[in-house]
Amino acid sequence: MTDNRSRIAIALVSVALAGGALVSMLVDRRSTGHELSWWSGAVLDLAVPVQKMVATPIDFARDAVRDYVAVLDVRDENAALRRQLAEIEEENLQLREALVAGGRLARIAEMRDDFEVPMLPAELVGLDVSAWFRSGLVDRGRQHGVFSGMPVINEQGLVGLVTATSRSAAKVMLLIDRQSAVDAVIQRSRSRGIVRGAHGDDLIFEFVVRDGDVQAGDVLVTSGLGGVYPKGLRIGEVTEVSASDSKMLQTAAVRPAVDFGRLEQVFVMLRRGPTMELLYATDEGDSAEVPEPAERPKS
Amino acid sequence: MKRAIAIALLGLFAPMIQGALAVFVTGGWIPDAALLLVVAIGLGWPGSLATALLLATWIGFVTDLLSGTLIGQHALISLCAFGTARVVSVHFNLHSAPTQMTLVAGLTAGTALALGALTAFFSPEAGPGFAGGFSLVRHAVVNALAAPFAIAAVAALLGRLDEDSGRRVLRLEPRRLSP
Repeated sequence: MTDNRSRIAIALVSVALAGGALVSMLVDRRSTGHELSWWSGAVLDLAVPVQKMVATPIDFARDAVRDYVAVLDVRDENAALRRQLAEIEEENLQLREALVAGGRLARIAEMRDDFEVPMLPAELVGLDVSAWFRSGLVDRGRQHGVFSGMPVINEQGLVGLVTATSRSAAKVMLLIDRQSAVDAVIQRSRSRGIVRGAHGDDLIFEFVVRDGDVQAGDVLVTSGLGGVYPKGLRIGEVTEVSASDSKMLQTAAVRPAVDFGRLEQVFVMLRRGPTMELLYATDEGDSAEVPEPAERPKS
Repeated sequence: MKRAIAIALLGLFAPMIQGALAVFVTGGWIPDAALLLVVAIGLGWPGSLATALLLATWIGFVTDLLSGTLIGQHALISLCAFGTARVVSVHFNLHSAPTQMTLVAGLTAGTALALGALTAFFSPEAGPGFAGGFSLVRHAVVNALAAPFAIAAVAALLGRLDEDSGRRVLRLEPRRLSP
């Protein structure tokens, strides 16, 4: 009798837990803003120092080996030159974007305005614990002015989008996650399409066959349409255009501009696109403006 | 109670450490701490089954928070993985390393399929949710290789917590007898 009761109790507990998980999924699916609840936020906040603690000795050992192998001055100079090169490349990209768009110098100034978004440096402290998803945890959260819907970049290009935040941490869906989709344009031919995460560390560019002028080696940048990402952020390079079975859509393999295997330092763009603003404003008290961060961002 | 707290803390910190290591060792070469822990408690939890179920769900929720999935997705799968491990352990002898490795490899494939199915159901725009082929085989092998060590470590931890309570009783014994 007691055995039967215990079995029924276990079955009830199992059903309740499974039901709770299902309800949680449905609620998460329906919710637009992902400013996490206090308890789940606390787990993310705790993850940042723990993950930094794990990373510190590894970083230290790795740096020691690097320093031993490389001459310090040369490395610093190299880093400075790389930074400079990245800046020039970005500038060049923007200029080319502006020239392609209209050929007017005024447009260049306009584009510079588009890009003059305050940037907050952040460190990637952890990657997705599931082998089938691609997200990361950065050490900046709501108290630094980081909110869901903000794009994340590094000097190589687009990294992803902030999808959830706690007080001092934020979850970033990487560009290579299969749930990620970015409206993109081929810089040379202006062919438009959608860049999606493929399995692994690659991307897929889906475009309409009729208008598609896509070749291997073409550079893909964000189109700015969709109101999520600003225009002209580098996404990657087309490596192969697949033969199309469909009369409508064709796909191309894309190598991401960002080396996701060596991702450490990123920048959060402290401004959301109009779509993201519409989506998330209600959850943050209808604020159209992103609050001033506690730390001054370095632009 | 001590055992439950220990496993709950392990379930909280192990995925965090796994996430931190993933920054340095990319490409899915790090074993799935959450799955291994759930299997370990499925095979060797000595206490109440309800507590073990709660622990498995907790481990899943922590994984959900540190992952790009919907909150609840890993929790549900964790619960199923625990149930499977428990049922299999009742019917088969899982004390040897090869049997544990086989179980974990199978569960890795099963959880990947379940995650894919749930993702496809809840986020159909993400396309086919199952990453098959080499990544799955590699992940199953990595998890299987780590399984005997993880299961033994968890069993040792649970055993040690038991031993501690036993020792305390013995220490108190002479005091009671002294005049």
